[in-house]
Amino acid sequence: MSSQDSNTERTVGPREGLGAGIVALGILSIALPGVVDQLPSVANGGSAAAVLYGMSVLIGIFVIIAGVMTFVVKD
Amino acid sequence: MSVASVSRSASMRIPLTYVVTLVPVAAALNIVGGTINTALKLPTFLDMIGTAVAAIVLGPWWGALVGVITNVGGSFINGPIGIPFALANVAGALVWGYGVRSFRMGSSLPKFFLLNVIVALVVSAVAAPIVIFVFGGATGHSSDAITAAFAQAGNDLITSVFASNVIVSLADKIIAGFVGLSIIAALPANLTAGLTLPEATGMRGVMLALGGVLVGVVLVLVYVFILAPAPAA
Repeated sequence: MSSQDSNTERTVGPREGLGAGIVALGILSIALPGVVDQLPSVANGGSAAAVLYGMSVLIGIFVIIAGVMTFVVKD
Repeated sequence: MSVASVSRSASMRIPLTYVVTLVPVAAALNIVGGTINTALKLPTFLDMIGTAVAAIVLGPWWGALVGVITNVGGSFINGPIGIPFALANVAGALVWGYGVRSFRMGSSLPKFFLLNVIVALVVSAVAAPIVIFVFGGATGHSSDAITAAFAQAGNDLITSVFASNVIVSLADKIIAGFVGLSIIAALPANLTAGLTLPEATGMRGVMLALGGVLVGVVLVLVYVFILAPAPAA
């Protein structure tokens, strides 16, 4: 193995960063439904479905922004 | 290929080892800051310093990942109350990241100060509806006292929550931005290559931030104690 190969370092750019952000939004989408019943206003008689709907809309906005950025981002 | 283009291209790629190290450390910094803030019952949040660092150094979407890890990971310590606010953390990361990296708002101290103000407004625009519609206007945070003061002054719930959130967020994001800036200054030079950030100018940045916070506090005090109508006896 040459010394050049051993010095090669893996790097990440904007495209990988965007992927990380999309993964983050996915994690949030999975985590939220599991806790929505434990949120205070829901426990006080509010509607879990309404809270979930509102949060899904917000997450959706960020997913759309991420989707648009896939067209913009260049390595 | 010119020297400038080589430098710019090199700055777009970051070693994976730095990312793997910086993302968890930034999330841990956020969780520790938030926990200290809760323990001391401060009227700030202090849970976005790591987000600012990651968004500026690595990129906006890495900052978003840090924000989600902070709030989802922090829910194991502080309960699920923080999970909906992950979106506010994501919004802050995107504004900080794109502000510095795409719009060059880190080129001078006034521009960076303005960026932190924009971050505060955007984060409030995301967080206030969550406070109102998910938590009914109060989350148990110290800023609930400011919300109550605004409500007592005759404002409706939406105005009160948004106003108190903007005030607290302004102080918090200015602190987070400038503390983040000092952390970035201590990072290896190859991580910050290609970024335009304000030069270290001793205490000038801190005094500027403190001045901004003081102006905000004075405005609140004037409003609450002088302009607000006295409660009925």
